[in-house]
Amino acid sequence: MNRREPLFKQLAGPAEQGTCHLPPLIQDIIILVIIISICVQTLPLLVLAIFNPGSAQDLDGSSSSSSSLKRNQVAPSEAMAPVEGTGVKAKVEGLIKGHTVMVFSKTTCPFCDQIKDLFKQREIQAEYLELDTLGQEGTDIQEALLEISGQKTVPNVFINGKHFGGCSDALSADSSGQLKGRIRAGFHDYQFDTIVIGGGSGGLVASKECSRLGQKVAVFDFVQPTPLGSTWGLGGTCVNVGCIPKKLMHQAALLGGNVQDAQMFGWSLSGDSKPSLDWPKMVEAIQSHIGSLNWGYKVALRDKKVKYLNEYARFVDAHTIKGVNKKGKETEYTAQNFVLAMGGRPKYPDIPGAKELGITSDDLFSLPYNPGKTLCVGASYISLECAGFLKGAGLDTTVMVRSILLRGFDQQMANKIGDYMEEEGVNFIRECVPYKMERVEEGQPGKIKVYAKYNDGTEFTDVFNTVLFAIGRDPCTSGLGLEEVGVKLAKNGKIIHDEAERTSVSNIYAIGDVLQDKAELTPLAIKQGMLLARRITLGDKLLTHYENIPTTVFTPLEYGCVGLSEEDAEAKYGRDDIEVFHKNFWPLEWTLAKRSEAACYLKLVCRPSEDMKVVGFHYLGPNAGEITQGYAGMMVMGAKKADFDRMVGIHPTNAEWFISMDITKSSGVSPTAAGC
Amino acid sequence: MVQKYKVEGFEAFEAKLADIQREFAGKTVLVLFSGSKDPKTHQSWCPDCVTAEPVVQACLDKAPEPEQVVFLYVGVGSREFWKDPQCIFRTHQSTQLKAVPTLIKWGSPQRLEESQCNRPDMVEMLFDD
Repeated sequence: MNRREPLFKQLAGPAEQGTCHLPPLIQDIIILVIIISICVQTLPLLVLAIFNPGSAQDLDGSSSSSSSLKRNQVAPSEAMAPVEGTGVKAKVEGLIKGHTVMVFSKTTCPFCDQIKDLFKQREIQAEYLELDTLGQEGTDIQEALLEISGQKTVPNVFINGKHFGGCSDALSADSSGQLKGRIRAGFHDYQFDTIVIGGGSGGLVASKECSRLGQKVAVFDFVQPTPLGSTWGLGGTCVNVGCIPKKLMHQAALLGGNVQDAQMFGWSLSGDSKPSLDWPKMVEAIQSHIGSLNWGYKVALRDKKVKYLNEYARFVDAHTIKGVNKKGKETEYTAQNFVLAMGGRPKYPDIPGAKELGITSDDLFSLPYNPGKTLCVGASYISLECAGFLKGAGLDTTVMVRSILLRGFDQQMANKIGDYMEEEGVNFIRECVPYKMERVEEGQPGKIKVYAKYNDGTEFTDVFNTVLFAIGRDPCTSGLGLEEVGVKLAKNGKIIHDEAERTSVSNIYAIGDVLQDKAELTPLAIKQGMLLARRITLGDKLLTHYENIPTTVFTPLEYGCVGLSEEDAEAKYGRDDIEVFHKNFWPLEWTLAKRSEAACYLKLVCRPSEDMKVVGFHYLGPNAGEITQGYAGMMVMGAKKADFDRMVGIHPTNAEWFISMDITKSSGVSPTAAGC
Repeated sequence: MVQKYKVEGFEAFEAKLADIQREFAGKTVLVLFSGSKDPKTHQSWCPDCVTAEPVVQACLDKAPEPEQVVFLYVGVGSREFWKDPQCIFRTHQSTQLKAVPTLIKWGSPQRLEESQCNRPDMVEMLFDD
């Protein structure tokens, strides 16, 4: 209601006729009293009920019913005729169990009318029993309802066989969005409507959304320590050992570069020493921030009434899991639905010394000591990002690459990223694979000798303080009994699913990094979790959209992209239906700093047959994440090259270069930009 | 029993906290920052603080390992003193309060603010490890 109106105006027929000249508040009170007296036929009975613990505890309708009947029999009112045996109660229970939504109401009760209107509006199919049309039986039913639910008043609403409440309960559940979810949760005797396994970005969102929409939800999260012993709190990879600490370390590295640039802008640093990074101090600051995020997630779960269990879950059957806590205590839990959101963990190569001597991104961000001279094995974005900020932190950094950089990404862009890193002083060992590691010296960091072989068989050996493996990630899908309950896994352990993220078991769903053939990105898991929760709770139809997912690689020179790589576009549409517009640019802020003029680069991959629709957006330069996120909107809306052209720029920015892209690759003209 | 202390103002807070940390090293220290009480009515000027205190006290009485917990109640001062954006409880590195009541598990990022302190289920989380 957006106007101040007498509370029950719309309910109270006679008062609306204008015959009542009492002030609104008194009018409300009188109407309220009338309504209460209609709904509660006998006040003494209500009082009796309040002081009769037997009937209040009798919610399950168990054998103590006869004793409460006896008490009712001695009550001093004619209206309180004894409930005849268990016949009426059994009938009421039958009605409750027999209908998804069962409402006991009266034709004379305005609250009942309100609930009927609400259900009609919401297209909720409910069964109504009008007690005032049944004579004595109606009174008996009301007695039975008191015994069953502890509520005597009408309307008395039951959903999925369970007592729900009265009119105000239904109205508040409707306005908070829970009503529909409660109804759709269905008849079941499981402890939870939904259990989410994995408290990462996807799992947390899914659990909170299911709970918000009326479900009873639990989320399980348990971190198995790394071989080195690193472990972390609630929130999953992104928060603890992924995006968050990565971006902060990247920022630490960028700041070091900015301090150097500052001198070219006129700043003088006291002394003439190069800035140096205090690694433990950086790690402590980052970990402290992560600690507050972990705590925030715990508080949010409790606030949203999601049960958080720090237990390792294993399936017993399709509706039952066994949780094991830190102390080894086992507890069984049951649920109607499960959402698998366990995420993934870094792989180790199967070579001597790898697990004993190597670390992964699971250890790096909480490493209490400076890692020193570091070898990053792998050319994944994780490897290149780590190598980038380690170099930026002033460390001697080497990347060992088996074949190509950034598999799956646009290769022209990938190579430009590599070129820039080399320019910055990162060593690349290509194409080479380690086969053995030996400890040379204990310490923090110690010294590790790495043996590797180039493609052509040539030997490589060198000594490093730290060896970081970033050769890919495995989904956390083993050891949970998934296959035993029928959840089908692909060869790589990822979960096979349909377009609605349902696994091969109909009540088990999956989101995030465990999904087969889906990008491993936090915001994607969040989107999947949110939409899945709404499908589970409300029966929504909206599916996760997998096209035009933007992403950014936070290498020293950042790379953002949306849509297809040039290779994928060519494979999909053919070379003849691809036109690539491209441009080199020199960021204004780089000019005084005398940074590379040729490093930054843009590319739009377009389809001539679709009026130059942009199918691939690529940006290599500063602040790629911010710029790419903005342009992702245009990509989602299906922008054409002409849409880019008709924008007005913001000057001077790097993002504005996308507006004036007129050089095509096919023209062979150099993409090096002329000045402003 | 949980050891309980009560101080008024920032200086007394710093001094008492230092004492506690010396005397009870290794124990969980919970600090409740609250609007100071009127000496006549014994009520805080801050309604959320009035609601929170008995809730926090009740949770302390039910702490799973009470001998491992030390509780410090800190009155941050009058309403006028607290509302000043430059109030030391707001600006000091060690407290950085944004609201009263604030309940902090000292030395950790775990803190509850305002109406969160009124919820036993939230306060109990501070006793988890």
